[in-house]
Amino acid sequence: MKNKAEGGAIILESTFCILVSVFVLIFMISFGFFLYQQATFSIVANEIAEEITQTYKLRNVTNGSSVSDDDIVGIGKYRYLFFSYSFDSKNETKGYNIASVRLTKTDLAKNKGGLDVDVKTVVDDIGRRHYEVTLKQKYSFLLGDLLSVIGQQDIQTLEETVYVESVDVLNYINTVKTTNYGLKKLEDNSMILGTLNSAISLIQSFVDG
Amino acid sequence: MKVKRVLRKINKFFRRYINGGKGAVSLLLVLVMAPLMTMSLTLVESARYQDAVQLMDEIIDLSSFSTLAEYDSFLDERFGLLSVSQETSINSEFSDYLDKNTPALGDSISINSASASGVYPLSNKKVLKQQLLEYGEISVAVEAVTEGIDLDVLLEKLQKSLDLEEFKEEVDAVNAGIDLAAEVESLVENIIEAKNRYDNEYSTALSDYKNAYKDFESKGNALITALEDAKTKQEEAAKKEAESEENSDETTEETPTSVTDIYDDKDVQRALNNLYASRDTYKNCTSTLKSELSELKDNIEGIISSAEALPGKIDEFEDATSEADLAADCTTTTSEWLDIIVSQIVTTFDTIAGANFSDTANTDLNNLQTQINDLAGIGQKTITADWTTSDIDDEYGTVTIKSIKSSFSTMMSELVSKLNEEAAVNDESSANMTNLLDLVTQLLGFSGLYNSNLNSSISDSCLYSNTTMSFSSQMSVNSITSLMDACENFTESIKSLNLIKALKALVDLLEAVVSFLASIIAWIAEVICNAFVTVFSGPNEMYNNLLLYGYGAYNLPNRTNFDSGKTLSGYSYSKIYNLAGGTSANETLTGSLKDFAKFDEVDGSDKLFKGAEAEYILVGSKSERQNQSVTFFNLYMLRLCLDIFPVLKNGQLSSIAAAAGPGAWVVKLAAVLAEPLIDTFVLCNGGKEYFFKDTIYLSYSGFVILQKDLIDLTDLSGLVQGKVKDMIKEHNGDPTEKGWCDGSYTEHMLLLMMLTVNQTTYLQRLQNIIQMEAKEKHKDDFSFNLNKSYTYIKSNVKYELNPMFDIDSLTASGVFGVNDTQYFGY
Repeated sequence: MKNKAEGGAIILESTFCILVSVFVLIFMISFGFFLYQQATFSIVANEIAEEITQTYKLRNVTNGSSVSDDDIVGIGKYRYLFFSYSFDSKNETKGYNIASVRLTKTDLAKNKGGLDVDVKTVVDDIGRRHYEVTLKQKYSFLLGDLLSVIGQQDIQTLEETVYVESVDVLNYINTVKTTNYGLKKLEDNSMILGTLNSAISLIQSFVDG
Repeated sequence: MKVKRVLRKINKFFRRYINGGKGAVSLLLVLVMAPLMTMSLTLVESARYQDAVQLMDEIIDLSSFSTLAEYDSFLDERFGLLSVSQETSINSEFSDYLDKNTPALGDSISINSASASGVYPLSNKKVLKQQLLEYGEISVAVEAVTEGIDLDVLLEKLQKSLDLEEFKEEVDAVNAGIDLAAEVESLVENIIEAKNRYDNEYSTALSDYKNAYKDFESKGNALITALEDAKTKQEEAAKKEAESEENSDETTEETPTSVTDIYDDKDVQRALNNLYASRDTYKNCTSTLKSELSELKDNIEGIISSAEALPGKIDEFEDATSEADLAADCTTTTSEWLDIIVSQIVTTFDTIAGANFSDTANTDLNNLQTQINDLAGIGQKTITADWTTSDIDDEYGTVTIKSIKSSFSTMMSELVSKLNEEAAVNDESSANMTNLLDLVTQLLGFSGLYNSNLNSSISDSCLYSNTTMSFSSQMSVNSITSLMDACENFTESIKSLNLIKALKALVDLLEAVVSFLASIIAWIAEVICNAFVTVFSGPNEMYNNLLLYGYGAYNLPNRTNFDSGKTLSGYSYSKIYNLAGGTSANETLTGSLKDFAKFDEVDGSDKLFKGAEAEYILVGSKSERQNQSVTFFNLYMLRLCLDIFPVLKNGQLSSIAAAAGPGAWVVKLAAVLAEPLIDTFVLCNGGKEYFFKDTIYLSYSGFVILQKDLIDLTDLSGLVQGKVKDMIKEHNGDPTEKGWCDGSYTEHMLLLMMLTVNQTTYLQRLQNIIQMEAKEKHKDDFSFNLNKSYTYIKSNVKYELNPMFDIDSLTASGVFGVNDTQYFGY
């Protein structure tokens, strides 16, 4: 080793450093894309849920920015009883359309298909409901193989479920009123129910002080 | 070589200006990191923007939703409708909520403008209809089910009850009955005409004829006598002449001139002239008799011909009308009655005229003609002195009329008397008919057309939009009155032992029945205009109609529940009565159907109806009394349509009717008129009636139900029982089959609304009711206007997204501006 010159050592070292740095940076970029996509996905799912709760009964409108009186007429009857499938299905289509537009504009991952929006109406109480909106999509990420380091796969299915309260005021009020009316009628026609109701009212008055 | 030269130049540049290779790594890192950082920050900013936009959407929605919370509580409580309260400004409410919520976004956005306005008010019929459907989808449906209304079956049964074809069949049947009765009437008139002709013209002619012959005979005898005298004279003269010839020389006295021809004798001439005069009279009387006989023959032939043809026609009529319910039973009794009359006539005429009447009559006429000819042929020397009285009788004696018996008059009188007896009804049936007619008359005059407590007359200015009342009931009312008059006339006629009068009254009655049926058809065509639209609009719209009209029936007060009823959501109707200025609601039923006439619609000064709102929906008049009256009439007509076939088909009533013989029409028609009237009174007084009855009140088994249903209506109960109790004879125990689906006045309102009011008119009238009530309710706070009762809020917010690093030169151009328009409603 006669040549003791250190020329090129920096280049050699920096080459290693740069390689590692670039590798780390590229991983971070890839992971950033993944995180971004997840965040965006979550935002879109929220947007869909918000749109659905706002326009659930307006099943024929695309979104809440344009509603005509024909859309109001299209609400029809028994949206949570006999025609719930139709309303859920139309709202899924509504959500699907929103997701398609929004995700296409904001995706930083390659769309691998499988976009799906699922809307479920869950009964919480008399006249009260919430909607369960689930958004699904398959993606392939930039340098996705790198994500295997953290246990991810190259093609992943992002899934976001959002719960949103129903704001179907008319249905709520009418259901509560009808229930009250029905109970009153039952009470009128049933001596036992009437007595029970009177007893509960009496206890309630004591409790309320 | 060129490359080496370039590298060398670069190396020289580095050594001279950048301190050789020192810092190259940092520089390299900077060069590598700068785009990476830029990209990362761009992604972060993008995510931030998206998040901000989404958050802003939520804020706008929440602000709108919060604004919607300022709803009109009266409309909700009273009508179950939601709209933004007009007491507050939608725009300021929305802006207020928005201002309070946007700080949650920090400096991420800057709002340029924000506004909100109400849209789709309840004055929009589509919007109102949707809210009504949503209100009724459970409540009305449950109520209808609870009340046992099965819409499909109801409409199916109703279609049958309101089947115009069936009514037209009845009209055809009754028209055929009119023709038949008119023919029988004509036959009986011919009989009476024949009898009168016989009694008057024919008998006189026959008597004159016989008297003329007597005169002729005496004149003939006188002639014979004159001829004999002349002949004697002639013979005596001839004898004297012969004696004078023998004694001519012995005497100078003038000798008598001899008679050459006895017909030249002055007495003979006188007698002959007298005979001629008598002959002429006799001949004229013969001609008159012949003419009268000919007329009588024509009459009798006409009677026989009609009488022989009528039984066949009666059978044909009975066959043809057997399908028509109204005519079936009544025509059976009518045709039986007519058959008896016709049979009586046929039998009598068989005896009177015999089998060969026409031949015998023709022979009589020929004989008379021969006699006329013979009399005309009498000359100067036709009758000789050799003739005797019997010769005159043989040659010119009266012709014996064999075709018309001398007992004709007596037999005809007996026939007419028998026919009059056949026309009469027995005392029991007569009493039944009279009682039923009295019942109908009194029911028509019974008070109950409207409740005078409900007497608002609305000012035009209080209505949201003017509605017009289109109803002409006069024809129906007149037809009922005419029918009643015809029934009474017929009853009087068949009690008066006058067949002709009875038959004429029957024809009048049947014509009145046709007018009555025609008026029902006209009513169905005019009033039940919505029935077919409802039925043929498909199951969805049909069900919508049930919910919409059910809303009207169950959420609007009517004359039976305005003081004690409630809406399906528990709002008490008495509040409306009080709001309208109603005072203590004493039951004061006024007016009767008999006096029913179209009221003049007077523009009043009241601001809302006191309680007959369902009636307003049905009729649309600004007068609350008029709405009640027309509704009462429509209800009566509806009950009439629903009851008419059950009444007519009722076996028990048919047996009562059958006992009345020709009066069956009266019994059935009186029942047809009375039954729905009783129903209507029961309904208007809070009772219930089956839409489709199996057991009618005016039957043996229905009387028990009648007594129960009228238990609270003592006046009506007394009236009905007093008139029909004896006829119907009370039975014990309820009948098992009472009917299908009972309904109160309210359910009948529902049915009438469905049948008579189209959706547009219904919604228009409902809007008027909402406008009137809400305006009066809010009068101290604000001026309610249906046009401003918004059910949706349209918000528009223009804002800009602020960048993380605000660089004016890059971001001031507003490339991140958002214009967000949202609709939010109940």
